[in-house]
Amino acid sequence: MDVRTLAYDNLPDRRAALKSTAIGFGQLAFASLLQQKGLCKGGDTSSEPISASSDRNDAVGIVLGPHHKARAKRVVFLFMKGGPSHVDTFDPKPMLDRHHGKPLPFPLPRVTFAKQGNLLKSPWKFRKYGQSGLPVSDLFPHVAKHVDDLCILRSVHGTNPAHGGALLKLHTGSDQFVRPSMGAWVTYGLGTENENLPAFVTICPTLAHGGVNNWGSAFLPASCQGTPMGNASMSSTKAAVKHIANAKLDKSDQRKQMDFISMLNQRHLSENPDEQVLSSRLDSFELAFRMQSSMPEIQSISGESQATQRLYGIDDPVTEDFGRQCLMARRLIERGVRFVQVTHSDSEVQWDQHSNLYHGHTKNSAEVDKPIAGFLMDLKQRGLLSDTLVLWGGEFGRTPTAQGNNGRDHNPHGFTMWMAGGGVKGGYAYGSTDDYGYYAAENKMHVHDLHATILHLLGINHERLTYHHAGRDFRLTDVAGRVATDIFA
Amino acid sequence: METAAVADRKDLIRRLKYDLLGLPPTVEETEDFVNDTRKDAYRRLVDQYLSSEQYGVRWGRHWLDVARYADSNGLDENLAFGNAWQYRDWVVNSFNSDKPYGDFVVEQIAGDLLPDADRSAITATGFLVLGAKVLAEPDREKLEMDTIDEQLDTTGKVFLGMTFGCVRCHDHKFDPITQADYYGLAAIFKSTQTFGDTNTGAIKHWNEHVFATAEDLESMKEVEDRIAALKKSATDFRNRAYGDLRQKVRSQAVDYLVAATSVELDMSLNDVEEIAAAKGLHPRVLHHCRKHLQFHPNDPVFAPWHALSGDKHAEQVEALYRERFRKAVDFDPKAPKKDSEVELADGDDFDVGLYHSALMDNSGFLAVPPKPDFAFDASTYQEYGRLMEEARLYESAAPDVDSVMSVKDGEIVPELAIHIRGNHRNLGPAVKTDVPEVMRFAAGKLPLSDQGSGRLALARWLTSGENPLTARVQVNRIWGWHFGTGLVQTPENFGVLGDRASHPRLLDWLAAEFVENEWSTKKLQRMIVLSSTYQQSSSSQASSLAQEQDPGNRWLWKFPMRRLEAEQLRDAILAVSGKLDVTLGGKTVPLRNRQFVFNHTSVDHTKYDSVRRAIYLPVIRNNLYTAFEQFDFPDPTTPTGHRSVTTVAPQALLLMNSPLVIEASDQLARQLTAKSESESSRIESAFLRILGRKPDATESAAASKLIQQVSDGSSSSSVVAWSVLCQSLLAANEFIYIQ
Repeated sequence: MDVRTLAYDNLPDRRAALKSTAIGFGQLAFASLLQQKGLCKGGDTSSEPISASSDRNDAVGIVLGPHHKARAKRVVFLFMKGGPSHVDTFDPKPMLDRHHGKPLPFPLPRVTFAKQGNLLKSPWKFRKYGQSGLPVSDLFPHVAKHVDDLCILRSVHGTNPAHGGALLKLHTGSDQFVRPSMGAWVTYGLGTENENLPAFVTICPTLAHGGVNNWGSAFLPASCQGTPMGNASMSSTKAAVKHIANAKLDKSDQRKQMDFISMLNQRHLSENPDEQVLSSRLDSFELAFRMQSSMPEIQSISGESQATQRLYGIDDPVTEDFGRQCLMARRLIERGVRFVQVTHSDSEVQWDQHSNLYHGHTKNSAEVDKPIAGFLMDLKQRGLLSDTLVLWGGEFGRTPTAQGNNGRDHNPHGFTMWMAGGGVKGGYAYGSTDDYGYYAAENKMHVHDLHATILHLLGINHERLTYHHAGRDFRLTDVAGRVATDIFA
Repeated sequence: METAAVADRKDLIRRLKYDLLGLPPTVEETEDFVNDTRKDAYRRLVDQYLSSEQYGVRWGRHWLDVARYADSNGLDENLAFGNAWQYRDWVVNSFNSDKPYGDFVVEQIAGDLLPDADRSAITATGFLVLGAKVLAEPDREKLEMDTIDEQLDTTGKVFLGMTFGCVRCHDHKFDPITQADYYGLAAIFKSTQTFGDTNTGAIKHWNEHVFATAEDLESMKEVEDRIAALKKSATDFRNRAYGDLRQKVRSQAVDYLVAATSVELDMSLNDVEEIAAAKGLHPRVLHHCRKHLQFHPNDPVFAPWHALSGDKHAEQVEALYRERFRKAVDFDPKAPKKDSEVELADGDDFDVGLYHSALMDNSGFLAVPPKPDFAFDASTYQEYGRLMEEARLYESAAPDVDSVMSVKDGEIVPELAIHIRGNHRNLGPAVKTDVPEVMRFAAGKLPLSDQGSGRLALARWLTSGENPLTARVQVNRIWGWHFGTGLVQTPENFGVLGDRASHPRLLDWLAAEFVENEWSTKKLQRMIVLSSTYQQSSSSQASSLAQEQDPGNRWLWKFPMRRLEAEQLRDAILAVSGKLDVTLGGKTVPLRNRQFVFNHTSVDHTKYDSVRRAIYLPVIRNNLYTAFEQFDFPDPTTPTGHRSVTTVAPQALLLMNSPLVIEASDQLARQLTAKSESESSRIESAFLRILGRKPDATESAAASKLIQQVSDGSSSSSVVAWSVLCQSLLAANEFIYIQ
């Protein structure tokens, strides 16, 4: 083959097929912009993938129905930045207690983040809870009361032992390239149910270790990107969407201004009637105007009863910050937001206890235990838990071996996350790690498998949720992903 | 096909100036052009703009999209690329001086290997270093292959319009590129050094070429020492404060144990605070102390605390522990070994050594919070913050070692093993350094006689004029930057899965002309903007038949209406309000080289309030400037020859509520109200300055009504009301779209 013909190889013009749907794309873009409710419905059982292409100018959004019956309608991801230790929380290891101080009886991974010593037993006791009798450590006494709602995934594993790579892997499926985040993929597939709100919101995310890429849309349409409320450096009382309020104008003056802009834009449109994008922009102003009312309303929790606020621990400075984030998450999903991430992160990488495991984890669990339990309880009481998938976990777990004399290193080779609600079995433990908790052993669940399973619960076949970009179809799960059907209720 | 009429002059000058310089024409400029009756008025305008130094700012920025330019690494560890600006300035200067594209390419791939390699040529190789790298990747082999992959994929997309990324793991599924081809090219980059020998902890440093003299480096040591000293004084302060706090807490050990008897396990910190305050204790330490007791019921030191309970719990705890801890304080574990069991007066046995350890254990029952804002009182915390900020500010503004991001030849590997499925632990047969087999045209075989990495040979092969892709890919991008869409709509993919050219013969002809005209970008552009196609009106009313035949305007029967790009919009807002500073060049990222943009704190210190042109605002990966991000600034980790254009609500929020737009509107309003004028002539000036035209009667009346309503009829020169009007015009589609 001659290089000169590379560009114009005589292939059927696949764009000819798309051409006839060009107007359709435009309408979908418009629909996505308004994120209308009706379009997200409908059981598409055809074998057509949910896909579009970024090579086209006009393909700025697509909202299609699910592939199969969805068990969950929405996701709340409670992200514990830094890597909570599984062997100290939800994955008890009696052998670790027994062989405390001895060397790990099998080889370490080829690459570890830091130098590791001998086995270190957990400073916490595990107790059995609920009808299922699943063990939870003393770090999570409140969450433990909901153990019969938890599906504990004890065999999750990833590939990257550093925070940045592991965060990116967990959030986007890739630790090497900038790829769309899972929330963006979910939004791309399902859209939102509320035309006044973005479909994907992330509350107080960390700007380090991948930052915006962890909620970005990469090559997916921009309307799929997560909308951040604040960031990890600020208290959740200040967590707001950027530019959501006008510092100078009151509502009625701004309405008059909007009407004036709208008049100018209508006239401009009438001179250029074929430019569909001009009318999209008119609508985008109206949506923005509505968001100005709807977002602050969600942020303000003053309408919530004292009892509810107490349930989330908002009356206690230790739990107040995370409690408020969880409560905002409930208010968002209640109003139709599809994917909400809540991040527990502070200036010390939160759960990253390379040393002082005991003190750090005690403090961290105290900050989140009650709010999470309150959140689960509240969802249950409101009938939201059954179709909301709650996901809890960090970017990796921690080693059963000691770092220094009282810490644990990063461990991406086997760790625990848990799910609740959204069509998963409650009071159920899936998979396992080895006797000491170093490597995932039974029913291993790679991060790609986790993604495939989440999409499946939402009614999406992960192999068919594709996006055409740079010459090929991309997926959240790349070329991997196995759905863990065993965990379905 | 019937084509649109020639655009009217107002539209034409606005289109041309935005296109070539990225700026809106002034009122006077437009008027002069409209009234210029000379036959070659347009030609003169084109030449004037092409020779303006603002041209390089606009067109250099296009190239920076392609070069995935950024001022920070992004990805896992976001360190500042404190010297990237020199590459940026090299690009701007190259466009302004119309550096032949062939040379432009050679210098970026192999400038350091040229016989007369000077500072400028070495700076150009920054192109290969600008990629986002997983700097903290603990697996060095993986890091190296990932970096090579990024360089290879970028090189392929940028210069050949080919996607090589997937070939790392398997033969290209659609294009005639095999894994052997990939590793033949990878060997070139394997022989190239992209990383330096230094590091910050687990974070590796990229390579830089140092120009600084030994003397410079010596004086730089003072700066480094000062940075270290400032950081140390903050840490020392923190450690001292922690030391003092621990000491104090230890002296109150028994008080904590006593107070803990009134703390219920589930008590909120507010309630704990009340108990602590009454006894002069630290509430969070007390809170933790109670939890610690709970978690250690069998600890010999705390078992008695649990055993004692009931009404007199506090008194009994006091009685039991007071004397024991007094002894524990005095206990010296290093003293000559003796039995540490001590018998107290009342005959109670206890192990004083254990009590001593419990007391001294920093993560024990008296652990103080690791977060300074939880541990310290307000004034201590404030002082600590002040010292940290002082160190950060000094470091941010401190001078850098005179150096540029660059590559150099490293250990030469003439061949590289195929990595089966891309896995660096699973190696197949070795392949020799070469270009892909399908591209080995007769005269183009890679001459590897130079014994180096092969980069220079690769660059020469790309730009020999015989490789048709090099020129075609660039010409296509340039066309796309003028018309909004390339002749091939996928500028980074000319492969089988890429788009097919709408006008293949035009593309080939332009590419041939480009090479023939000594790779002159300006000559090519001059030809494009002087064409009748470029000068057409964008009005679709011109031809309803064409509208029916080609609604997508692929055949360019009219000029495509375009939305302003992020930088154009931001610069235009500043330009019409008279705030824009058009100075060229220099370091503008407010960070020292390799300084953390974010460490773990997520505090964003980067400011975007500079009034320099947008190309000079920091490009921070992982956290782009909001105005950029919302208006489709490309992902600065991947080459982008064609920006997408989206319409999302946050764009409207930004236009309605951001300080950028509000401050510019205020500025305009102040200028408008400074002169005593009638309301209607003020409205006219506002329209003229912002939209470049006068309002008609309807618009004028609506504007007047808006002003009356917003100022409550109190005063027609209310700055607020005029600001609202100006902001409306800045947010209007007419301002944001180019006809």
